[in-house]
Amino acid sequence: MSVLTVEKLNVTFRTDDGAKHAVRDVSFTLNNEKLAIVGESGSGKSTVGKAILRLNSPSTQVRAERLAFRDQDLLTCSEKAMRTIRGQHISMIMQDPKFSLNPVVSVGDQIAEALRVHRRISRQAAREAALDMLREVSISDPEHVFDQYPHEISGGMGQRVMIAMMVIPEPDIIIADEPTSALDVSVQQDVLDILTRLIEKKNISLIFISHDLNLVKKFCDRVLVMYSGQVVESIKASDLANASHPYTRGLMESLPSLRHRRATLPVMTRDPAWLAQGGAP
Amino acid sequence: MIAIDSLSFDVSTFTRRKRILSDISLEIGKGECFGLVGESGSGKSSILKCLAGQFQGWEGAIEIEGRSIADTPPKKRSDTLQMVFQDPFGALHPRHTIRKILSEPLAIKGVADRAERIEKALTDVGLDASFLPRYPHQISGGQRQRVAIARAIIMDPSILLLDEPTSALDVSVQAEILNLLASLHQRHQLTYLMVSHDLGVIAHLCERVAVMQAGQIVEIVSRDDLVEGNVTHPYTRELLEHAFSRE
Repeated sequence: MSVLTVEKLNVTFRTDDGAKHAVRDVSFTLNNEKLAIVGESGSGKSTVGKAILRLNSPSTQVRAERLAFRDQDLLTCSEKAMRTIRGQHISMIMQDPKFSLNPVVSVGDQIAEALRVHRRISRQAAREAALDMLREVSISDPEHVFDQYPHEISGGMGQRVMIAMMVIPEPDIIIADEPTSALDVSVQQDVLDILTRLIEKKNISLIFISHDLNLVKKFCDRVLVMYSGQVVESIKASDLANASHPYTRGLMESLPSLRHRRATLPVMTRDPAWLAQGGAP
Repeated sequence: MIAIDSLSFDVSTFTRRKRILSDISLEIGKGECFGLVGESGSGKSSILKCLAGQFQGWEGAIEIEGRSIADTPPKKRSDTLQMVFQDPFGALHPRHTIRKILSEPLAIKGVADRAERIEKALTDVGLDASFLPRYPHQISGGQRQRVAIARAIIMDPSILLLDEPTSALDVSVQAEILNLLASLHQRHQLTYLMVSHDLGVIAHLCERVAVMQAGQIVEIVSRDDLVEGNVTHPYTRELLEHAFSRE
């Protein structure tokens, strides 16, 4: 059975100019795999991630034929049940560690707290577990880092702390929303390696939200390409080179390349028919 | 065109002094596209800020067209030198219309034929007069960056300083802006000094690249050498490997 089932998910925002239909009929199932959701800004990829955890603002309308974690319906379950799911079963890593860590609590205490919320465990045991976790995310001096505050550590280290915090309750699914786009290229690779190692070791399924097709091509198993709120293509990452949808192809071709330099880069012409078809052609 | 000789820059806080730039020397020819690449905090944007006059108190010598910029008043400097910033939304006044944004530099300089200059600059960046009454939030990110570029070229400068001009944009829009920058470079014989963390973007536009780390230039390589992998410094090699592995 799939870990997560999403069928015909629709999200509508209420704005001053009327309703904005941000996600249209998105369906997918997540098994034990690394699934990427790729698209440009405004395509609705982050909104899908938030809708799964019911993190959208109260005025947002979320409808779906089915939105379920294993056999638990995420649309109808109580807020109390949702709180058990958040963190313990599904957790989320945000883009910028600077804004997602509590600035006035030491990073070690934040990691330990993530564990203590979900499990009856002594303060000391939680501290030990947090130190182990810091070691797991390749932080060389965990005892020192444990007592540091978010502003004292670098962006790459902050993102490792975030990963540690999200992995420590051993959830079933991690939703990572652009976890590396705020980081430098050399740090990006380290963070991705750590994330891969941990989710494989702990058997966690991953939803990886990104705008970067090249990154996703190497890192994930399957890719959903979103355009204007719809999934226009669902494809195995290894098949991306043979993608059929013009939008997917356009995204890949518009990147400047070191190996094959072109005088002018191909520019995408957006076909209104992409939306009318409502999915893969 | 631009000659930077042993430029150093320190920032002092209450407790310590930090060297942001250390002994930077560069020669950029007329009409050249020169790139600066490096990680955040390596000092690449600081070089642009020294050139643009946003940083004061640096040591060393910077000459533009043979004249030291320390002796050039800011108003004069902006005749030859204009800058395009990373985030077009932050760089444009949110409560000014595009017309106001584009006419401001002309008003400051007391240029006469404003309407024609504005129209020409807009056409140059692929927009038209219908954008003039709009506000920055009413146009897309790519169009905003086009307006920012139009504002930079409206004074007919010979040098454009480009600070990560495409990194806040989607890849499809990035392609449009890179194409625009390439064609403006040809049509107006501009000299570019571009900062980016993306080697692919730098190599697309620039003939030569300076690789920066911790406030120093570790290596200057030509595009051909970069693409061939003819680099000597280990840090350049590392950046290059990352760039290649992602293609």
